Amino acid sequence: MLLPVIIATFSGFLLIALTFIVGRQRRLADAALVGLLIALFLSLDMAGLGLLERLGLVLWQAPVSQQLPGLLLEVTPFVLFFWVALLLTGVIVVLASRSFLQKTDRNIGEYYGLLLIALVGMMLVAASTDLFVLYLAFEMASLATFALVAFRKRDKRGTEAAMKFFIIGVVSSAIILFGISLIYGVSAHVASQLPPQTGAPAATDLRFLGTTLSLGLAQFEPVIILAVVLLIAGFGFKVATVPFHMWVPDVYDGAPTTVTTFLSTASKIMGFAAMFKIFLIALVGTAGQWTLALGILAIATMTLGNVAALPQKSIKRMLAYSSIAHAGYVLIAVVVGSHSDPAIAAFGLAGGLYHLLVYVFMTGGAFIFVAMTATLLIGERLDDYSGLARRMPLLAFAMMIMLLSLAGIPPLGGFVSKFILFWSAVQAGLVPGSEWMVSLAVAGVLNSALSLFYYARVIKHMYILEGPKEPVKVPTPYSLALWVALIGTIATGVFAFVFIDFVTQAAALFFG
Amino acid sequence: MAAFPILGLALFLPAVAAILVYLFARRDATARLGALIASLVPLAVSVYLLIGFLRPDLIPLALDPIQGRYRAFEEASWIPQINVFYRLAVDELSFSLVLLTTILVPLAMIYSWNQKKRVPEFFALLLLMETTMLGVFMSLDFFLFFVFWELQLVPMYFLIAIWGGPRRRYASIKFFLFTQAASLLVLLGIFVFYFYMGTGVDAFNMIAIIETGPIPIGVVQDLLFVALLIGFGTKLPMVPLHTWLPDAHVEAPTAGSVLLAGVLLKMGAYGLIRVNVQMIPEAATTLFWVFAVIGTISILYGAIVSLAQDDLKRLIANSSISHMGIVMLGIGASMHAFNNGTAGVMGISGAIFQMFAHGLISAALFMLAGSVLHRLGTRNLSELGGIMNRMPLLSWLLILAFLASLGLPGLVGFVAEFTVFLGTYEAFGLWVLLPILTVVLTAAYYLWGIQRAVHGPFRESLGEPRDIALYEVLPLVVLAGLFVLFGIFPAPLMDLFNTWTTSFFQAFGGI
Repeated sequence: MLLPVIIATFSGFLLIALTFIVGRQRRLADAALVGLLIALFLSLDMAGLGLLERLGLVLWQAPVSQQLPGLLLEVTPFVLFFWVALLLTGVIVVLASRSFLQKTDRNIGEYYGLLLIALVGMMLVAASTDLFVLYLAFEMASLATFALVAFRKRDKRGTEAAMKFFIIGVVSSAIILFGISLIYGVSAHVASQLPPQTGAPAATDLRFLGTTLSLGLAQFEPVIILAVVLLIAGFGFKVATVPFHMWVPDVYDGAPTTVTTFLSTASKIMGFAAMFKIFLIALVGTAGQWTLALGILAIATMTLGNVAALPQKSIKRMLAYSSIAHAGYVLIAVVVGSHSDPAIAAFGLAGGLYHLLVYVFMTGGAFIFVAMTATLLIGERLDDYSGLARRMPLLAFAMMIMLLSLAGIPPLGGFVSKFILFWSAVQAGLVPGSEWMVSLAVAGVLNSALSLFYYARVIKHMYILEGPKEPVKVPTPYSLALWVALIGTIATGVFAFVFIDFVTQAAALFFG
Repeated sequence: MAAFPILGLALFLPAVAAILVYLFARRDATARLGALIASLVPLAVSVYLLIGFLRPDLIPLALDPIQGRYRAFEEASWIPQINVFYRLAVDELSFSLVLLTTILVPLAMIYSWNQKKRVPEFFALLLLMETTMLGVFMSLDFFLFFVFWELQLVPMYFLIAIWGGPRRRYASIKFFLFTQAASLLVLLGIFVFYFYMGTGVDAFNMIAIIETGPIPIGVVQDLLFVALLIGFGTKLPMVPLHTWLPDAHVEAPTAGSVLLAGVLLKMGAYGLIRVNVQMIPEAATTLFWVFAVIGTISILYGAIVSLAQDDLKRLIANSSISHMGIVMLGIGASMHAFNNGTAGVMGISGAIFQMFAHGLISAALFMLAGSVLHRLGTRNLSELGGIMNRMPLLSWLLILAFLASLGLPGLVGFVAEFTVFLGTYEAFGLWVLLPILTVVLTAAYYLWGIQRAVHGPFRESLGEPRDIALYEVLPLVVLAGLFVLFGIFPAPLMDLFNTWTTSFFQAFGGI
């Protein structure tokens, strides 16, 4: 069941070793790509493709849904969804890195190795059933990404970004750990008072926590609230919600752009996987204590992200703020996912998952586009994009589609995913007691309209303003990565029915 | 055997052609010709549908299963998880607009034959416009409707922003802002329908919504009515949400203006009739005075402002506000007199005819304004004079179009305005004198314009202009022919619109 994880781990270490043998970075990228594609194929196969089974190789019965109690892991459609999304990100980033990394860059094997090891950590976060395993996997991924940001160690801005990222990352991990320790204390105390039984789960098992924390709520309410505050703050830093978002523009702007792509997509997906698991499984019994707070954070995050993106002249920074705004949209799924009506909760979560999937394509693609223009020495500022549509008509078109999808223009993926998210919030708001959740949908719709302005400005520069005319030659791997992103963005909108089945199944089984 | 998806062909062929033209047309001539040929296919479909509407015995069109009133019905599941269907059909109302669109797009292309700037992109965008406009009129699924409603913004924005006049940036952004804000209200309204339809299989089905009328009468309907009125009314445009229109028109390239005035404004009117009137008729009957008052104000305001214009294009743009006000007035009159027998029918029938007539007339007017600028270097009436002496063809066509627009009997505009005013008289009695007053104003600004621009001695400062070329004459002559044709023989179309209004009133319980 863990074959994709094992393959990714193996490829990661192999790549580090290969650095000493293979000199050409392109070959290393190809090797990483092969590993990722195999892992991606296996994950898709487990998620319901069932191709291997039809070929006579019966490793599993798709779709796989299995607990691995000895390892404190599980492989369910929910987990597989995250594996697919993460590995897709990996494919796009490695493709782009193949051209982004220069001959002068050193230790290229380590770059790909760290990338894969970070992905392994992220996949394990999604698969974990135990709070400590989740934390360990989270740290494994974080450490690898710290090193990735500082990959060009002679680049001053990159090193500065890495330093900021490291400090923020470590502090937020400490905050999370403190929250976990408080929760563990409550849970272990409650568990010790339960009648003893054989085979009882550990006090840090996520589903067991759901029971113990709701039992202990009356007795330990202040402790639990403190723990929740710490967890919200800690994860708030990781997925960059307001007011814990300050580091994002600096780090995203300073890091090598392919690494930024990785941070803005894969890291964020991991953060939300962890949040879904902790808030919607372990803390769901105490939902009354935190839904309103998270709802306010969601609205603040999307609004601030969009407002701050408006005046940006650097496209990379603009996209950084835009990714903050999108974290706000996905937070709606955490809020609605805690709803007492299981159908609404599953629908909201499905919306969140769907938005993350579309987000991989549209934000990933947009950052890759920026990386490409940087490599081609066109620049990363708005003014540099003037007249770009005439120099690279196809890829500028791809960028336009991704930006329109980010703004939520139908019939692209971003529209469908936002539609489901906001609609789930409206449905939740119709249930007495959670009327305020409608405001999430209203804020989301208004923000989408607002965001159109800065996305449209990039389109205006590319298509309407005049600029240099000489055509540019784009390296094939970049085009390939952008085509993957473009096709994904359009397919998730036009062929939404395929993907919605996938995410609703994942969400339904997530709640058991 | 399922019927051939004829509407789907008309809808998506231009979009596919747009992509092909954009990607593969290396020479400008190929792009022009390819685009024109692609735009003739929807026209052929329109003609086929026209025969189907007039002679159902010759061409039987597939009917919808719920009401049996929507023809050439085609349906497929699209996103079943949220009850979204691909569902196309036309009735008399939407068909008239489909016909208008498919006529105007090829004409606008022919008129743009000498476009020199970024030709393949220009024609690809015109084709894309055609798909989105047809999509709005053909969709009978609210989700699909909104998809096209939103998408239509994109090509129009580019048309204004790339090929527009000197203040194109400002105008395109303003256009975008106004219509995008209005779209949000429309989306909100769609959510309300979705909710009250019980979020089941039919939740987005516009036919089912019309059939069941799910919204409770009273405050909910009234609020929804106001939200949708603002949403659709911005596009119409109604005073006081009209300010984007003169800017967008003046800056847009001629083909853009033609489609903007000819078709885009009708999308707002179509929304008002299809949604406000058909889906929440109770609110529309209690709030009939909103239509009537805003309509009358728009008529008067547009006419008075036109009187003060020097720029020919700005004059035409403001007269559009006036003429679209007549559409609103007609709707208001019908909603007031809906159980008044055939008299009540005239308002909406006239309004639909006015939409069709104004589409043809404004297209011709904007083409003429474009030619005037192109040949003479200015559009200001005060700088023109005596062009009849040097450009008789242009001048005669200009006079004809002006006369059609001011409602000369025998031309298409007269039939439409006359029917609406008749309906208004039936509904409101002598109040009709107020809007009729504008006929005088309209005649004043047009005749004065003719006098200043066309007659008198030729101004030497205008240089040595040549008369308009074949690619300009051709679409104008076609349009002029249609003015006369539908002016003298309005009966077939009018019958269609009367059938539509009568059957709507019967379903709603009037008559």
